[in-house]
Amino acid sequence: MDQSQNAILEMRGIRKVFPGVVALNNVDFDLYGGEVHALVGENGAGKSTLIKIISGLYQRDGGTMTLNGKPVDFRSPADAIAERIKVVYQELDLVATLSVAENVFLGHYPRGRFGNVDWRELNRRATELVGNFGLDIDPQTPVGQLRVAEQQLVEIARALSLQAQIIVMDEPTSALSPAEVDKLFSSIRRFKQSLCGIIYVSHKLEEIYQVADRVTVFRDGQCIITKPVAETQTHDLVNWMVGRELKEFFPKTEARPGKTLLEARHLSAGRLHDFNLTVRAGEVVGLFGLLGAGIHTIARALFGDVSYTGEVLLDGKPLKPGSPTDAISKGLGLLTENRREDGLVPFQSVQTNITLVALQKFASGGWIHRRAETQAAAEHVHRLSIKTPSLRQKIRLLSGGNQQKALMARWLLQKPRVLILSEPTRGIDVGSKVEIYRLIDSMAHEGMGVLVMSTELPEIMGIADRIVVMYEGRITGEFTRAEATQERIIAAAAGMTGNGRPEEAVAA
Amino acid sequence: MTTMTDAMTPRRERPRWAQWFLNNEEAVLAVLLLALMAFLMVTVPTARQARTYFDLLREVSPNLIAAVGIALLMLAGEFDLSIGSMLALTGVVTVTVFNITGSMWAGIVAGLLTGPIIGAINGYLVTVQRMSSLMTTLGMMFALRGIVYVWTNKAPVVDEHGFSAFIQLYQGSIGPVPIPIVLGIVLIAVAYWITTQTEMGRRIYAIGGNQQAARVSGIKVERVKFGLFVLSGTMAALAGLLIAAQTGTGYFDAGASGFELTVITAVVLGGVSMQGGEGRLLGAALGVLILGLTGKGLRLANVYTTWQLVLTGIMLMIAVYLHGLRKRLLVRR
Repeated sequence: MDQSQNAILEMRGIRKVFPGVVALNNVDFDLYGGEVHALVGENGAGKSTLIKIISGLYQRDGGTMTLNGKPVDFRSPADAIAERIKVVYQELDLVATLSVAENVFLGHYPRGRFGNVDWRELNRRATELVGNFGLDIDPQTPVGQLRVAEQQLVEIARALSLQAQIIVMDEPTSALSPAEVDKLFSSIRRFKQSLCGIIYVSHKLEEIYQVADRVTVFRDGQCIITKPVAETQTHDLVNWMVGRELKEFFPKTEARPGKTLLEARHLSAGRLHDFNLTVRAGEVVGLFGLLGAGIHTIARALFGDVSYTGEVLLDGKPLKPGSPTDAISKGLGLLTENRREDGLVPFQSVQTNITLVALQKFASGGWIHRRAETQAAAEHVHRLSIKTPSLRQKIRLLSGGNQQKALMARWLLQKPRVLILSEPTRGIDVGSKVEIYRLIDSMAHEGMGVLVMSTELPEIMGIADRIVVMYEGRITGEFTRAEATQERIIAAAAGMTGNGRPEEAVAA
Repeated sequence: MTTMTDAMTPRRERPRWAQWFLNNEEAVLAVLLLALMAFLMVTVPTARQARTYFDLLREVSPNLIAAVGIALLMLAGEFDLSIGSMLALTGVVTVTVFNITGSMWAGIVAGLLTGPIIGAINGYLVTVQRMSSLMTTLGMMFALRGIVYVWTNKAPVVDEHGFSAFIQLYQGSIGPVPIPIVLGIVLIAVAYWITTQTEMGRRIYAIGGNQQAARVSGIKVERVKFGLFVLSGTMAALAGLLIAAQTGTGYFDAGASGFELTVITAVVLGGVSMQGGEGRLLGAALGVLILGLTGKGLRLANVYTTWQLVLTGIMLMIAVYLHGLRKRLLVRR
């Protein structure tokens, strides 16, 4: 491919400063028509900032930007959209109450003869676009009723409907099943032929080898290297990103399980049916399933955030259904899979967010001892190496990985007996992932029972002592660390119970 | 490449004092209040007397007290529009019970009790029945006003016994300081202390900041909100009691000229976010004083009082604009 002929986007010496942080420092970046250009880097490395400058959400503080050879200066996202630049954010911006078709064509509905909306044409074209992903969705369904994976595909279909010349995809596969990922990739290969340039941000390095042509590595606000993907190896990428050799990706020590701490008996909620599970002190139990298998619902049900029938016992004492307060007081913790919806209190400080659950420990008679609180927060910021200019920084200004670590700190401070972690590494960078894995290991080592829900197989296999596999709301397999193989787990997750062990073994 | 680097202008640091004002919103309000006072002192002779300010504080004390309840409720992300009608209900109940029982204390207790009772009804509808607080309390606002009209037949209820001790509640002083001012300042101080120093304060901010996150952090969201509705009702009842004590009369039209909106305006002027989770009690108190002083100043200067409405409206819009500006300046540089 003779790329030098058709650079769509050229950025030179880009600089962006936030209070206390240089987010981008002298960054060069370019994108050619017909290429997939991957951006990798740890959280806070500057990828999101670059994307936001490209999409007009942020204004650069220095440097130049040219589009098809002419200088551009985006003042707002509308300016970027006018140049047919479309960003598919990790956190989706769809209108939940509007239909799939309306969302896809939002802002540029096909018009009829009298300037009216041509609904028939709208639905026909939406069906076609969504159909490209092999999705069987009625285009008139309100988006709010779709699963997250489906919503993500709708968002991508929207980019297509714009006939964008640049599409930016920020972690597009974080909620997709393997089959959906394949469909996404084949559509990406199709867009390339239309000479549209695609910027692909992902923490999943294997995806980059599947779909990208070139890769740019960011670290600490600087562009470290840009290279054709074919000339790189995974460990090079990781080293460039981290700036040091990663010792072990899954730091895992031998577990010595103690007595049973958490026990679910005949739990039914939503499409979950008769779910039984035990978590012992000092072990990490992994709950694996594809999206829709119900693993996330289990997290909520155990914690009392959704109603259920059946019984949940913590150290032999039954938990009150529907009361997270009761669950926490008896020693259970939950880190949810939605950082933004039910994790962060965005406009409050890093400190306030960290001490939210364990606040009682710094209070007597309702009065907070500020110094003790600040000290504890500072210790945890240090221990988890959370990058923030100060404890008083609003948490929403932190990068995703640092936000997640702050939410981890929230629970470390509380020291529950059993901690449930639902997708603890969703959308965060390799460096933060390893740190979170190390934390999980050390928590279990200190006698905490840990239950991890994840839709990422390597993660579950890397950190769990015992793996429970679910399919459509029921358990289809359970494996010890020694028994677990990728094939067995995938078979069980696809509903083939034969490969897993029979359900009697579950009580173990 | 080097030319590009040269082209990058070094970022101008914001002056220290500007940054300090950005971080301390109350300081801006305090400066505004002082500027307003200075302006009045220069232009209106009577504004140079200390008495004027005692009068002002006494007049705005019902607003200050009601603002405590409203500010806390708004921090948790809810509203209470029924406080204006509450004033009338409390006044009418108090004086009616005076006249029936002949006991001042029975009247005061009965009047004050209307607050937590109405607040509990509001709280029940919002937290248990999951109704929108804006609509629920709007309904309550109309219903209570209607009840007072029907009950009094739109006639003031006069204290037949002429309890002078009751009048003292408004007119009296503790030392040199009028009782309503003491009440207002103490309540604001307590609320300020609760919001900044206690677990309960943190819970309120967490609920307003992200209700779902608060819930999964073990905070009993509904219970806290219910309590805040009861508090808001109680504060409104106390304000209503003071207003009735001005003349010893239960007015059917007390608070009918938009008391609830005036209080909400003052609280928003003071920096409390309409979405909840942001703002401080000190700011809310300053908001009440600024609005109060504006009105008082216009009256002292013999400006036709309806101009006050125009000015209030403009000030509110400017305040909201400044809050937005402040946020942008804090985040994006």
